[in-house]
Amino acid sequence: MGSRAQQAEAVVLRSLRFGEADRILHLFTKELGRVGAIAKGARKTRSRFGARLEPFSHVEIQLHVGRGELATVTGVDLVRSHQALAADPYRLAVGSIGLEAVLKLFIDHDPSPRAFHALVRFLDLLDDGGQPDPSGPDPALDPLALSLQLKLLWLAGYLPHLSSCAACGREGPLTAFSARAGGAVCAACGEGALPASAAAFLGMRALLEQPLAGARPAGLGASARRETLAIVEAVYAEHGGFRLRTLARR
Amino acid sequence: MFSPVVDELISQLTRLPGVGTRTAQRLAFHLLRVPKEDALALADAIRAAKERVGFCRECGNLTEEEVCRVCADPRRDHTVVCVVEQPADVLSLERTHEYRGVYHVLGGALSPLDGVEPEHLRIAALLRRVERDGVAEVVLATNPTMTGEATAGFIAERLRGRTRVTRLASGLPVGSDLEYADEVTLGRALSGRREMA
Repeated sequence: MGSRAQQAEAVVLRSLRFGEADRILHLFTKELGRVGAIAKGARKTRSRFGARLEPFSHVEIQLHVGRGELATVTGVDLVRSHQALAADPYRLAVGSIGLEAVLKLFIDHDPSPRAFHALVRFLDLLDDGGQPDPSGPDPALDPLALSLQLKLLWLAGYLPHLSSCAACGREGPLTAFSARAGGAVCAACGEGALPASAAAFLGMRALLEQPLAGARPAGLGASARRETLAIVEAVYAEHGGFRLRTLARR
Repeated sequence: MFSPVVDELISQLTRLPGVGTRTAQRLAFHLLRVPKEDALALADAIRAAKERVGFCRECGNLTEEEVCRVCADPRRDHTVVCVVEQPADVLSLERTHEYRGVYHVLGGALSPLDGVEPEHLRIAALLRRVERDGVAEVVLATNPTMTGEATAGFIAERLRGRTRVTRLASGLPVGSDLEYADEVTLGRALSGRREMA
């Protein structure tokens, strides 16, 4: 494959120092999916890229895609920097969960425009700062973060089955969650599964069906959110074989 | 591939940041080509640095003594502490000849994605230092990056009400043209504008 110039809309997921003044970027693009790129000289004070390529930045980016593993950044226009997140540790922590979930759930060069739009909407809502989570200081339990993760699981093909027993098909009552079976399970099939309440399953369905902006007003109780988070983490572990670092401090 | 000793040298060089296999091979062949005393001078310098250089008890900067030169200097203003991410940042600030206070080196910046949390940095030591030494001002000079700003915000929150906290200004590089400035930097320069007498 020959080298080519490529224009893409992207969110910067991660930025790592490299060499004397370069940065290695993990980008999530609408057109190309996840892409690794090098921004040469981005750490120099006179770089025209540096300020636009911080994590959370939503950009229009020009890449030179060659034969190597990394594309080279040749131009950047800022759409929205989402800088306000850095000033608030709570919002930064919630945003970091979203970035890491995308980083882990999607592979290189496998575009998912819907996941891209969900991520951008998530960051915009966080940046706007409206509707702060009234329930407590734990970013991992923020309904916005939970809603994004459930939507990403759906788009990545790991959506848990929640309407009937994932093991035997019985309609209910559903009393636990089995990541191995792929969803909610009834009491008869629930051995070794994660106990979960009807409120948690209802809450998960609400978070999935409502747009991201409706996640916080949906009013999920603290206990239902804790159960939802445990279920999301169980799906990550079972199907992806990973745990999010941003959730690991809990 | 070459000999076990050369392979080991290449393998050790590959562990350096930013050095891949090809660069490591080039460096290894260079070291084998130069006179023996030149190559051994490098080895001696690495050994001496590792054996003699440690971290300053007060500020965390690199030093051969228990306390670094800046912290031991009575002419410096010990009531003003400038907080930086890395020892290299101390050198950059010293080159300005504008700053007469002392430093505090954090050893990095908060980064949830990389697993860098407050307990991995010298933040607790900074808070103790402020209480113990009656510090009048803490200048937050972490990098103007997402992680640097988050670190500055975290420290400012913990120091609120205890001492004066200031943040290094962000703005345009001296000698540059406005038309080439990026919107983020220019926006910060505008919001941080100051009144002229």
